[in-house]
Amino acid sequence: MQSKALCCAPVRENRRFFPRQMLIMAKLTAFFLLVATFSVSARSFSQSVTLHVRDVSLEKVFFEIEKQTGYNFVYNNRVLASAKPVTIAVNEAAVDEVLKLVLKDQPFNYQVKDKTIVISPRNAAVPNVDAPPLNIDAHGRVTNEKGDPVAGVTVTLKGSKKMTATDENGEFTLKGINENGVLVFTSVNMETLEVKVNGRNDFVVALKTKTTALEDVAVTVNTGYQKVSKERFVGSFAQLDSTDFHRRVGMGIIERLDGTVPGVVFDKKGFNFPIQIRGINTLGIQNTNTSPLFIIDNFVVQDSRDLLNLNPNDVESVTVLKDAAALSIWGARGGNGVIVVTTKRGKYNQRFHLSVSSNVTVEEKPDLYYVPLISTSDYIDYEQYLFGKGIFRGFLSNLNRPLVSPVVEILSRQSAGLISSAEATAKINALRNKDIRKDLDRYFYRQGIRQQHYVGFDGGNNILSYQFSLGYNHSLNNIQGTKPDDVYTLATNASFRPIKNLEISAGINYSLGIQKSYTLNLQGLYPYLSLVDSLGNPAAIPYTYRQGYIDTVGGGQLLDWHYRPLDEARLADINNTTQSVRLNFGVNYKFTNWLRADIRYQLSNIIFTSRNYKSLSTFETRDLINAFTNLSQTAPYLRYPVPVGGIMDASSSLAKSQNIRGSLQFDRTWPGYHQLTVMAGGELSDTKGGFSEGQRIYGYDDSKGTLRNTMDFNNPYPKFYAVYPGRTGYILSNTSYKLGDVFRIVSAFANASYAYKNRYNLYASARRDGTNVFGVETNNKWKPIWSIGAAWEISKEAFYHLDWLPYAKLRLSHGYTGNVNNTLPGQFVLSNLPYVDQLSNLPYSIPGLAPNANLRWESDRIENIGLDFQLLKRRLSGSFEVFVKHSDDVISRAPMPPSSGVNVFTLNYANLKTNGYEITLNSINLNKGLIQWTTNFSLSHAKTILTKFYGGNAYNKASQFISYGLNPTEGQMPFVIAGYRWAGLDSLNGDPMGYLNGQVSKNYTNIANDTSKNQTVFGSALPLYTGFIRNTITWKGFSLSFNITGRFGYYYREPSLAIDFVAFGSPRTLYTTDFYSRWQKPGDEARTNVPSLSYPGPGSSRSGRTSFYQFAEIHIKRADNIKLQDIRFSYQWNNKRVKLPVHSIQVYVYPNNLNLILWSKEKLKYDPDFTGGGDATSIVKPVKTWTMGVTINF
Amino acid sequence: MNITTNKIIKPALKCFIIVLLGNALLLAGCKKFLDQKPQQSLFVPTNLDDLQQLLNNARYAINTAGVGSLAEMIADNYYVISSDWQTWLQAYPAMALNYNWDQTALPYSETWTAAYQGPIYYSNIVLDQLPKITIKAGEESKRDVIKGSSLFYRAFSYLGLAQIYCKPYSSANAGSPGLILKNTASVTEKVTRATVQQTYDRIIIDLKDAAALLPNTVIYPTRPTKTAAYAALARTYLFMRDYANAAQYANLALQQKNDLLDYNSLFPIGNPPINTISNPELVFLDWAYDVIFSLEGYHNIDSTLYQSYNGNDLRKTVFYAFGVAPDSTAYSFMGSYNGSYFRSSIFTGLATDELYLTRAECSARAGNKDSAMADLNKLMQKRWTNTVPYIPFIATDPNDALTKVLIERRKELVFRGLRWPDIRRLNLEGANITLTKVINGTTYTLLPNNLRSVLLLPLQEITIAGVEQNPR
Repeated sequence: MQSKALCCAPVRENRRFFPRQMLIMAKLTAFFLLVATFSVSARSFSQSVTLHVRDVSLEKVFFEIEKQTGYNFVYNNRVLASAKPVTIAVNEAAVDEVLKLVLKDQPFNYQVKDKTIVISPRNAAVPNVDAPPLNIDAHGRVTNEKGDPVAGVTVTLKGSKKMTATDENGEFTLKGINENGVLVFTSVNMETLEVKVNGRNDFVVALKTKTTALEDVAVTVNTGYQKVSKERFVGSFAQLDSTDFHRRVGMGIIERLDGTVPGVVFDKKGFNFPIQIRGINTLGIQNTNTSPLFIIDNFVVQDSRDLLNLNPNDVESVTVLKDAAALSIWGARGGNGVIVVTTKRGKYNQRFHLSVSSNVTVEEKPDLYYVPLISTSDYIDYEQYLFGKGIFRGFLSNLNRPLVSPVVEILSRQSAGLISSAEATAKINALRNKDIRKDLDRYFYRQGIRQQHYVGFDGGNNILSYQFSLGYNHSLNNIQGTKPDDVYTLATNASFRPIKNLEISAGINYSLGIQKSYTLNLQGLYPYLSLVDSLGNPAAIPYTYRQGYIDTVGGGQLLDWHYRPLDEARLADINNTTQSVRLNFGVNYKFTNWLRADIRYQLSNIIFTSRNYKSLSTFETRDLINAFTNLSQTAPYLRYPVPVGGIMDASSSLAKSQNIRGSLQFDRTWPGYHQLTVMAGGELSDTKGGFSEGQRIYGYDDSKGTLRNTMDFNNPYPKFYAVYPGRTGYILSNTSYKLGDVFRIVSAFANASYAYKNRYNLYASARRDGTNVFGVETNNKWKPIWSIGAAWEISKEAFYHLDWLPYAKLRLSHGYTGNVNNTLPGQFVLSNLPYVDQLSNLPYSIPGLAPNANLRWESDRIENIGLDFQLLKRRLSGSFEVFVKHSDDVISRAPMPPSSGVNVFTLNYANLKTNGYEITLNSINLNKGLIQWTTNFSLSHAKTILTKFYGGNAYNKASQFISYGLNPTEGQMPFVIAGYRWAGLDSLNGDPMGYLNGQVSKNYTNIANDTSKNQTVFGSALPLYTGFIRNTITWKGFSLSFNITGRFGYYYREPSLAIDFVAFGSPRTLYTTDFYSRWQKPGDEARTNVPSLSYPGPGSSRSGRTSFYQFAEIHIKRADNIKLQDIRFSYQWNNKRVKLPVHSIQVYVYPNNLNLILWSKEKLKYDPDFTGGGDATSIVKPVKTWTMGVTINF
Repeated sequence: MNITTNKIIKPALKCFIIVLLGNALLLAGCKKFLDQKPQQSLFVPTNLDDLQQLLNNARYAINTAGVGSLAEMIADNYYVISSDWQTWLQAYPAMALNYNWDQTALPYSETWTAAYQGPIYYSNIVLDQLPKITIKAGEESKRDVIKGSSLFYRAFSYLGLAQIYCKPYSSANAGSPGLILKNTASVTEKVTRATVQQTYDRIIIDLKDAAALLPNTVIYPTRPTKTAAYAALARTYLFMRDYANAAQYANLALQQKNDLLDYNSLFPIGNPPINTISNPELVFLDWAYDVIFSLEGYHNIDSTLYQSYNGNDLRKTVFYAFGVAPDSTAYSFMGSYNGSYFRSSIFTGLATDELYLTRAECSARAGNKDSAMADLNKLMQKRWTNTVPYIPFIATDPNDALTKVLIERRKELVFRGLRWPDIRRLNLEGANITLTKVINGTTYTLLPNNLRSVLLLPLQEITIAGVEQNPR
């Protein structure tokens, strides 16, 4: 992107600002001041120099001259070490003049050529071309145009077989080279550069990124254990590099993989397989992990809050590991795939870089009209009809006093003769033109707003690299009047090389999250309610209790018992604080050039405290006090067993995790032919999670801190609002104390990678893990896991002459990974409960899971073949991968007869098999002058079949295959979806009809219990094919990119109206417009599938009728769709001329989660990726977000 | 703190070094580090207290053996109104259809499951684990109590289940399918159905063993005593129509405990009218905790039953309340011996009133009308209001005595889960009790000794365990 000409022979290290002794971070402050000073005095370039300094380093003087004049100095660091301090005072002097003055007493010569000033030792002998060449050892560092180190660059001495490659710091050493030789730097992504040795042994080389190469080609793969150059990596992975990662904006980290990396499918319907990498590998039985393993930098994320609390701005890249060669290093926990999050680090020998960014995201209000509902007036008409039929008689006379709607309340008063018919009609008609959605929209919901602010800097010199950042996030949710959530983050890490071969690194990640928001879902209320009264004050709505009852009960001696939603949002006083600290420490020692030892340690600690104050004004508190008020008592403690005052719920929890890893790394290159890397080591992990304690304080006054500490939780007290006068209940003590769970894992691992002639790569990896599975003998706690892989860069072969395919690499891998569940017991155990038995007040236990001493870990065997290629003069690059995955010994649950004592027995039984492929293409379509157009495309396929399942499908009922989720049966996909066969509506009464034993039937219960084979099995409820295509067009500083995603080969169930009368018992039912098209008279069956609704009669009684209709095949649709997911439009200004400290400024707008369906296979009423249940209440409309932001780089 | 740190760090460091050195020594070295239990609340039972702690789970497992709520649902103490039945049908179709003995009703599994996964499973765990535990000196009696309790809980559950899922005991039915008799806690054990004879044999053997091991008194009413074992044996023999043995064990029990509660002391009527713990009649506390029977919910007292109480009979006021049943003309049952505990359940345990009635019935059947009337009057005196003089029951002959005892048994032991076994038992003797229920104007009938008076086993027992289903 930076078009500034690159210096091809930079002979000087970038260490202007750093006196050698300045090693500690504290001194950075002084350094900033210095930067500020220089910045302020910066002017445009001139040919004259003004300088007033005393006893400053020569380096600093050079820098100042450079700044004022724009000249570049070229010198060798070691040469400059002999410089003396300089004292000089000149005004508007010519450069030449100043140089003469400055170098007068220094042992240097200078030479000016164009705008470059070359400094050389005064006494250096003029190289004698005839003299025999000397063998010297060259060290150096290779960077890109941004000054960032480039790994994997091949360094060759021209005309010889001497060669090496740069390491992850971009550094290289090439021994015994000719001092007059020429070094050739070559790399796939960088332009080749030749540099004359000229007797030097210290090089800093900046390479230019190939303009034809794509920018997002990953250079290194971080497996969490190693950084491996892409060329040498034999495994399968997908990566969001820095550019792609930061293209998406927002709070989430993992979410950014959605629709942007091949092989990863996000389930947005909230089932417990949220992220699937290459299909399904486990059944998730008994809390077996279904999620991929997350890694931050080096260690497994033991507590998901560590990931949630990480600031996305601190993230450098995210890598998804997919095949055995990539995963086996993670052993028994990598079975569901591994996602490695790499955070930003400072780099050695990199200039100081400061970045400030800020963005604001607006989240749209909930769309209350997404589900088409019947009009309020029609709803009332139907309530009146049902009232006339007497359906509410039971409710109204029931001493449980169930909640009834305001209309029913009015009608019941009318029928009791309490109000006249005209009065009732007037009252009801007044409700007819109301719509609760208007009030919700106006008074309850708002747009959510999230702000993200971030400042970070990094840099480094020869011996220290550092990174530091501060972040602040501020979110307002979409409910009016609730308080904001804030997150503060701090991240810093530093690496330090005190002596030549030793590196010490340490880092701190701290985050403080303060959640004060309150969420309340009010959708689905009676349609004619109002949230505000005629004066605009919060209004009460029917809630929990029959309104007529609470209006009169207690004769005015109780607290107000009404529920006003608008008040509740305002009164909520929640303060949940999450403090998370991650400390890293590492030591790396290089014994020789080829042998290193590395020890890393991480401590992660999360403290969560929650404080939820429910003042006397909140409904929950008033309700509890009223319920226990005993008006016949006068002693305050008896009259108010729950004291009149606020309630405070306070709790805290603690999670702690420690990891230590040690390894030895052997890395040796025999130039030209062999390169061998071996790593072996061990790791220990100890995680304690879930310790928690909680307490409820009654009678609490938050302004004074006073409370009542004489509560009686042990005796029952009479309760108001009970069927039987004086029914008793206990006051909830809510005191809890829970010991944490412990997860331990011990691992030993080794891997080796061998490269021959840089074109053949072999890789092998092995690992053994042990965990603290309960009651299993230690011998059975261990499991070996291994993998092998190979890669062959065919295009490097001498016989290879395909000009149209300049790059081709074939990769193969085979191996294992696993999935562990250490909560399953191997022997008979009891579990203590943290309560006492209610009768005896004695502590008690329950039996643990039925023990199975033969439990093993789930095992995944993966075979993968991949081809990486570049075409069309390297303008099109991509890869193609095919894989097969066998998940064996998957933890299953066998259904047991009740007489056994348990419902299920856990055992390793099921097998799954996944086939699939992934295609990735990246192309530069246009690269002419100022315009560049690139396309990234990917298509992935993964299909999982349950090849073995306990009991096959002998006991599987049709009703078990109708819901979205895991519906396991042998020979089918685990997320299979089926529907009841549909035989239309009964022409006599509009009953839905299905099939039983091949005959048309209305025996809904038996149809539900029939085998799924006799009903219609559609296919996968998860997309079998996913893909995306992202186009980016840049012109000058403008850039426009948009991502289009596709999900194919799957089905979803369109929610439909629950057409029965049970629904009227519970008021929060959505009556969709399907109601209008219901069957009403014979003949209607020809035009509609919506069953009849009348009382008494069809729809009022038959059990299973509603669910038969809702889960019938007519509602299942192909969900295949193509969506516009996001658009990013940005403008970047790069500072090329103006002498300002700013390097670049980028402003952008980013609409995300658009979910704009561009194409769908069938007409879809609702978004199939968010909605999938049977009932209209399950419909969710995805929420769009709009982000604007700015990033400034200094 | 230091101690715990050392506990982790020492084995961890040792293990880490071993792991670094190579795989060869891995297993032994890391044993200590990996032996940490994953969940702190889990433990392997190692002593008697651990096992007792399992049996302490009274509320949710052990003392809910009574299958009384299902027995009440299919008997004739109460009815539900049609609209409530419709609601049942939507929410719990198997329950609704069993209520009116529908021929097509699917098994209602909850009751069977609660017993097998509760007291039977728990007791078998304890009986399995007991021999593995080292008994310290002086702990023998504690062990005996735990063992006796387990035998009692298991037998008491079997007794309740046999009334629902097996044909009533008779010489003709002795060979017909009985219960699944689980004698170990192994969940993978292959099971079959025993015969009715074997089922009752097992119950009697276990109860007799329990009686020998159990103490005379206990602190907690949820734990069985010797008296409870005798009372359970009396009930068992009565159900088997072995009236001599029933009388003998009722007598043994009453020798230990014969207190009665004077219902006059319950006035003014409190809420609940009868306290559980202080009730002198309580022998063993057990209740049916089930979704079926919810006092707040659905039940309406059969008006014939309500009208059968004399105006001076305090049970009419103590047991029943007006104005709370869904049917606005009906009464509701209020007088459970569960008292304030779990009003949504019914008392299915053992009490002295039942023992008096059992002994009275056996005396009458044995031809001894006077002792029958003595027992009956002793009980009824405590049920009669003291505002009028008590007129003792008098029998003209043993048959008359039996009739009078059975009438009072019907009125005294309502909502105890005992009406259903009594109907089955008496129908074997020609009582010819036909049950009817009316829903939406349709009358449903259960004729005496009909196949449908033996309920179906849960489907999983048939499909997974492969046992025999009851015929329809």
